Amino acid sequence: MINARTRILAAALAAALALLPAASAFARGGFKGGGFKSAPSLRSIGSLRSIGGTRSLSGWGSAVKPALKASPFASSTPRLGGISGSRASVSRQRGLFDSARRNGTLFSSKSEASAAFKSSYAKDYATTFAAEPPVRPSYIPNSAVIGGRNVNIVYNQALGGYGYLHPGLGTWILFDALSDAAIDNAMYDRGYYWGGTPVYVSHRPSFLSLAFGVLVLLLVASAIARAVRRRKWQE
Amino acid sequence: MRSRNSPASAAASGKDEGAYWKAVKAGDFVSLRDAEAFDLELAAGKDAGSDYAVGEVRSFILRGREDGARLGEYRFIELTKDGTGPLYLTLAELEGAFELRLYFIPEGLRCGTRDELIDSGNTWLFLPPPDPEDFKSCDLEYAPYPDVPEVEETDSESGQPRSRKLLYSPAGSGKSLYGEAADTRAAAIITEYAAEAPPGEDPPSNPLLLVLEEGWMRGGSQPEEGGYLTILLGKTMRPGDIEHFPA
Repeated sequence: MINARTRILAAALAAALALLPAASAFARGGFKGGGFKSAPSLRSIGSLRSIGGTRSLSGWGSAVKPALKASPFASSTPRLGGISGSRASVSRQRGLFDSARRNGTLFSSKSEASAAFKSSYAKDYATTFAAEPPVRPSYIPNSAVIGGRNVNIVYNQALGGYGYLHPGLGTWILFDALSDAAIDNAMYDRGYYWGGTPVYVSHRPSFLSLAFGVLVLLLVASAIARAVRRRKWQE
Repeated sequence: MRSRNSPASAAASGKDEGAYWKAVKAGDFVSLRDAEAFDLELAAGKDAGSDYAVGEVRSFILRGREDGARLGEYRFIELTKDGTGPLYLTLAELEGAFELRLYFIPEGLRCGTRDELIDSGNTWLFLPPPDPEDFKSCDLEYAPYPDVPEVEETDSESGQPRSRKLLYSPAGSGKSLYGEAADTRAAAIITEYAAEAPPGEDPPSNPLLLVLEEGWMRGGSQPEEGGYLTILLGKTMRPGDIEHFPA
């Protein structure tokens, strides 16, 4: 005979198993950083597409050859979403000569992009000042991660600029606004693009986190079962 | 002041050879003398022919997927003229054979990453994902029969503008071509289609559709937003309909 506790535990386990497909749907690894891409946005990192609310000029393509029907003569007013079929109406987009290439800011690797950027804009990202500026430069953050630890970036008169106390060395270091960690946003802002090895950021839940989730569910189910048993005993 | 050398006959000047067109470089001039060029110039009330300046030239090396052996090259020669969008004289060389084509980006189509195209409603190029409510652009596959929007042309009999739906089917080998951009080394895919008109109607003036995707693979993996797509319409060109004037 299946008692209430067993039923509750079974229901909890079923709920845990039901969550797994949903977890895997969010578990697709993504790429962060690098590559030919537009300015960074939250949508482009780890986001999934949904076509539900998107206006579609036409449907999806087909794997099967559709039937081709004769089209009635159309008026001079084109339907919404039509494209020009003649050289009489050519888009001014340069497509494969996109803006990054036209501006000379498209590179095959991040190291090349960084080198080119620094040679052009290093003077705009100075961190040394004879006196503390009345307004902190926008490209100098309040803090940064150095050696795996968060450090404050402050103006140091003796240093002659903005710097931080190195957590490992115990000495003041002048902050480099064009360091590897800091340069990405600066390059994006200036329209610099590059192809190269992306940094893989896994969004996939690990086995441990899944196991922990199941354990929590079982504990909750057990607590509920105890409460039910206690209530029955009181009755 | 530009200089013009006298054009030679196609045979004598070697226009039938791919090497002739590979010599076209930025700063040169090209004159188009096909029927469409004549029609456009007559409509504009100018002398016959269309003269263009050569802008950038971008080359894409095509390779076999299994062994990486070089299969050919697609060379896009940008042709520019004041007041109009650019054309792309294309030398398509594959397994020893070459073909000249003239492409353009049609009004009404946008270029961009897969994400940008999908977000702007341009799903017609791809097969539907298993779940249209939950997918990544980089996982979409090119459709063998894309649902291209209506194409606007001028009816040859009446001279009136018209819009019509054309059927685009895989062209060439029927499979996408893989390779890399010669300048940036970005991974590239070229997918080609050819259009046919409905029964009883004139064939389209620019029946070729070429999709160039750059940067679809980086460091061995696919970026979520997909590569950068350039979508072109065009036609094949006879070498004799193009005059090249080196700078």
